[in-house]
Amino acid sequence: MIMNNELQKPDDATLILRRLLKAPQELAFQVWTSAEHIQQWMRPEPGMEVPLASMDLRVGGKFRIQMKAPDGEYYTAVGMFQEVKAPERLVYTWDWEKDGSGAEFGEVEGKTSLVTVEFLNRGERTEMVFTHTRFATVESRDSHARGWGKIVESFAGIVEKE
Amino acid sequence: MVEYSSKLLDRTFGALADPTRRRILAQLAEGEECVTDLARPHRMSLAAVSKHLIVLEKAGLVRRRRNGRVHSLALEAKPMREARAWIDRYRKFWEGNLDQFEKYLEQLQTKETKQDDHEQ
Repeated sequence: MIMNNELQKPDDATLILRRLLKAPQELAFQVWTSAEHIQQWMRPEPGMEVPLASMDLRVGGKFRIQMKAPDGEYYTAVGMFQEVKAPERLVYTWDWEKDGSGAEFGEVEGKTSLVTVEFLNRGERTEMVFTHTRFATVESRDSHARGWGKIVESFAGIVEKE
Repeated sequence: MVEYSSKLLDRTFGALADPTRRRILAQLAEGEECVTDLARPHRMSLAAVSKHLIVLEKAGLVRRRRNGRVHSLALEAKPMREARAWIDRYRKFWEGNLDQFEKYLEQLQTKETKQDDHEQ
């Protein structure tokens, strides 16, 4: 059994978050993937809002989530679905738009990263496993993640000393 | 909020993608070593190990000190710190989002239950 809000770091390029949600799998998947719901829950920081969200939920389909901070700054995320297996698994790319204030897809900047979301059926509850990695494909992430634990531990000591 | 992607960071992850280079870094995590000692456990020529060391140096993961003819190498922590910063920014971002996602899911279901009660 997993702990709630468990955090894992298999390597220094991948973030994994786990949650045990008090909701059935179907509902969790639906709320995570529908634009209307996203506009309600997407709040990385207090006071932020989501003026626009669009989701074309199919392999090769795109999404765009425009977040607006209280200071007027826009943070707009875009990406493309690589895997869609309702109601349990989603894989999509993640990019930030340079400007982000427009109503349509704009120019992106930086490096494409990859998000994988899994919703595992636990009866009335759902175990959520959220992964965000710097690698743009599942393959590159997996080949990279192998055999990493120890080295990161050794580094951790050094990094914290400085 | 989520600013990232420097060329250095990409080089860091590229350099770390090779198992021999990860083993070299693990050796250096124990302390500074000279090139000959580093080569020994890898059953590799000095030239082959030197190639890997150059990749690691370019990524800024190790620094080289010359003491006459002996070159010794030490781990450099800065790129790892930047890699961590990338993760920490996203952790903050997603933990905030997941908190709200969780709360919202619970609110939705409370509403549904209330509506059901009302209808009955």
